[in-house]
Amino acid sequence: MSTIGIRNVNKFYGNLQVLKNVDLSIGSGEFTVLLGPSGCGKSTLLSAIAGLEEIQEGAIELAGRDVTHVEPAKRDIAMVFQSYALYPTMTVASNMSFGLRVNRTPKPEIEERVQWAARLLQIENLLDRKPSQLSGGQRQRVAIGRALVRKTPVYLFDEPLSNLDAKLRTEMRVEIKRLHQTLGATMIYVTHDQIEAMTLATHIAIMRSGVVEQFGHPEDLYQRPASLFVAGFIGSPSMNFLPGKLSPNGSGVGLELPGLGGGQQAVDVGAYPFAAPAKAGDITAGLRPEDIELVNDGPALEGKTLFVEPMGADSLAWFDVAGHRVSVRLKADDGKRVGDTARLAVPTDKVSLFDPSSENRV
Amino acid sequence: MSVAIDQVAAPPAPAPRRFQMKPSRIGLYAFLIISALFFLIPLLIVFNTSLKPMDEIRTGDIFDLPIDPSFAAWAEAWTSACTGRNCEGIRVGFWNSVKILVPSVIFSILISAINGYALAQWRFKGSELILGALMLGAFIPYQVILYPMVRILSTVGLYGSLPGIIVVHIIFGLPVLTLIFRNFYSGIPIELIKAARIDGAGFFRIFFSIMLPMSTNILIVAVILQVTGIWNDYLLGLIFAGRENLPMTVQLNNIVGSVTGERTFNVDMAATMLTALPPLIVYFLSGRYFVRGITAGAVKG
Repeated sequence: MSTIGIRNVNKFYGNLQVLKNVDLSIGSGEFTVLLGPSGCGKSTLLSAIAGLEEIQEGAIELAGRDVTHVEPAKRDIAMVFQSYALYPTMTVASNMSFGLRVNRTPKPEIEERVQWAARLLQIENLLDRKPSQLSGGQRQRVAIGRALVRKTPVYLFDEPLSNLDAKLRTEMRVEIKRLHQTLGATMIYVTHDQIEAMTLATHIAIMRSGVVEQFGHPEDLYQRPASLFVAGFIGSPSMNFLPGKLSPNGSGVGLELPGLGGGQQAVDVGAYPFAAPAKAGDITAGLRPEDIELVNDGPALEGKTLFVEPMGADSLAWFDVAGHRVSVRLKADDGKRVGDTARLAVPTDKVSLFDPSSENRV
Repeated sequence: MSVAIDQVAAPPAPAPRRFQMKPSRIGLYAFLIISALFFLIPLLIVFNTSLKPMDEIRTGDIFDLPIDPSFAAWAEAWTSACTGRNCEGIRVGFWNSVKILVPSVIFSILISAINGYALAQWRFKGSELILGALMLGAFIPYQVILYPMVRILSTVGLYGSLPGIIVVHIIFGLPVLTLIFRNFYSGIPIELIKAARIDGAGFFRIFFSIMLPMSTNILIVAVILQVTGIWNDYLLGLIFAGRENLPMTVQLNNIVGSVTGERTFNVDMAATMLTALPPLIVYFLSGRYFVRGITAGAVKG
């Protein structure tokens, strides 16, 4: 078990800065997911933690030890690669034991650890095969097994599931979560898949163009996104954004939204946890599809129904609200009853407000 | 009526395709056969003549088949053909060639493989420059370098010795072989190296445990190139090997060139065949790997 400190790390490829002042503290035994779109620097950050990429500024600490200039082999980490990176000429057992053999671990112990990892991953019957004789899912298990036998306090995963088909991906996701609970090791996991991130992580660091936009618990990121980017990236379908106006008054804070009907110009968001006292002016309001309810009366957004997508467990209804497309998640039965128009209640307790110029949460 | 119905129900199966020779095909085969003969006839004449006694050669045509084929000339070429006053046969040259060949092939391939692996997988400062220098080295005709090479080797005391000729072969083999290995190793995913580094393996451990076992095909290509190249070499052996270590090719030339009395064509031809055999055997045994290895790097890493 081990804490990881990433201290103001900057990395450049020539003139291109790929990591900008990345600063994270990862607690012992946590499952941290680095999430972001392609090219956001998440894999580079993982490689920097592994020691496979040099960083120009900042420091990396593992278990309180500064390892910025330490070789990958001496950092006490194990890593699983996206392409599995199994040694093609070795059997599964030799693949798994290679690291131990390099480090001159005694033979009986190597044998024991390989058996232990193989049992844990249910690949005992594959130990004598070559990687080319395995399916994608089996190769992934072997790649994880190769990391496990090292019994390091930190495991790094670089998009380990992205080469698998959807069904296997779900299975392996559960498997990895189970491993984390069994081993209690610190794990860092890179992915661009928000479902993997939400289901696996105890903490998520969401990245964009080399910057960590937000670092926190998955629920925090989902409920209280720190920026428009985070709000739009997490959640499927993504959060609905509406341009509005804030107008603080004596008793509370009024939020004007386009298409607001029911005899009212604004809804009151006085209970919103403003970071700084609310200022009058333009604002972007973010509403999660599942937070919006269809109502018959009271203040609500007047919407024209575009279409309804039945998804089995629930339905997704799309409305046109004063020229903005808004999605609402409904119960499967309610989805069938949506008419040509609908009234969408604004969930004032669950709304997220962003400054349109800085794109940050207010 | 029933016949008609049958015909409708089951249309006649297409007649089995007869083997048809189009004129273009005939032309193609004719060209191939003539080309093959063009290259084979000298070899056939050499082989044919080596099986005849001198009487037949003197009286007959070179295309006449031997009346009583015998390998007597081969035996003579191997054990007692003369180069000047020395009459121990071409076997002396054969063993000299083997002594030159084996270490030259092993070391040139090993060093080139390590070089190629370093250039392909470990980006270091100046690696591009070294690659450029190698490209240049691969295309410089070696006649240009002969004299400087002689001076260098005589300075370090290796000129005219077995280690001298071996060093020369290794050096002249390096540029092309390094490029071949570099291209092969460039096709291997970098993540393999990363995984091995995390597993704690160093530069040489990765090379010997992971890269080399993956290189069978390209190693065979390199072995073929080096064996045929070094065995067939004449110029370098003549210049650098020294009087005691002249390779088989040089000795063959001496046997053919030293005439005392009548020219013994059958012995000369037998000696030629003996000299040409080893590379031929290497080709026949591993030709298919050669093709496979050359294309291997292109398709899959």
